[in-house]
Amino acid sequence: MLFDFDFATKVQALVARYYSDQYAAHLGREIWNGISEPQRIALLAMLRDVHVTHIGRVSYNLYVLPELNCTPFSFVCSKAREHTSELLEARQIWRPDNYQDLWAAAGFKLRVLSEVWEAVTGTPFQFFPASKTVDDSILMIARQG
Amino acid sequence: MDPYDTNVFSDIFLVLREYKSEFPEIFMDGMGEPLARAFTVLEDNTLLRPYDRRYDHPKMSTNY
Repeated sequence: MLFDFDFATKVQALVARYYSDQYAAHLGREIWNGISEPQRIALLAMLRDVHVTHIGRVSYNLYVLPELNCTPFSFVCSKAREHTSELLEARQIWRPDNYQDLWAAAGFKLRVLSEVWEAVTGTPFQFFPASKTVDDSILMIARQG
Repeated sequence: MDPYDTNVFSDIFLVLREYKSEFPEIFMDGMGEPLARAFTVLEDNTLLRPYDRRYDHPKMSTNY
């Protein structure tokens, strides 16, 4: 299935539809439809690792589309809900104020995944920057505390 | 298996649960096929709503 390009494309399109509907349900359909298309795409991309947070655009490499489902929907959506007027009027791509939070959420999930992976296989992820991820998580926890 | 395969599979489970009508080749024409039968049997044990709050659900027991 993974190597069936048509099937994979259809799945990705439906995943995007699902999360579009989720945003619409949480923000209001009118607000969601009022947000510019590039911004809507960016909000969807922030849920994956296809959003280049420090630049504020979608990654050029569409091959990463099926990769890690990094940032929890509830996190990005709650930030978007706090800034709906900015989203509607944005002339540049809006992103959460502290974009480190985006990475920290992703980093936390990656750290858990890495630890589970190491426990199951006995070897860590190759090239995985574990210490940086842990640092991100500690910063995130410290900020929340 | 690559680390991101988990996410690929969860994506597939999500759309198969939410958009069955988009896959008539699996759920209508192919109900007798192994893939459709396997998914039908497993469906209640795959992803559970709300998908982004998986810890809302009780842990799996030994029965699982």
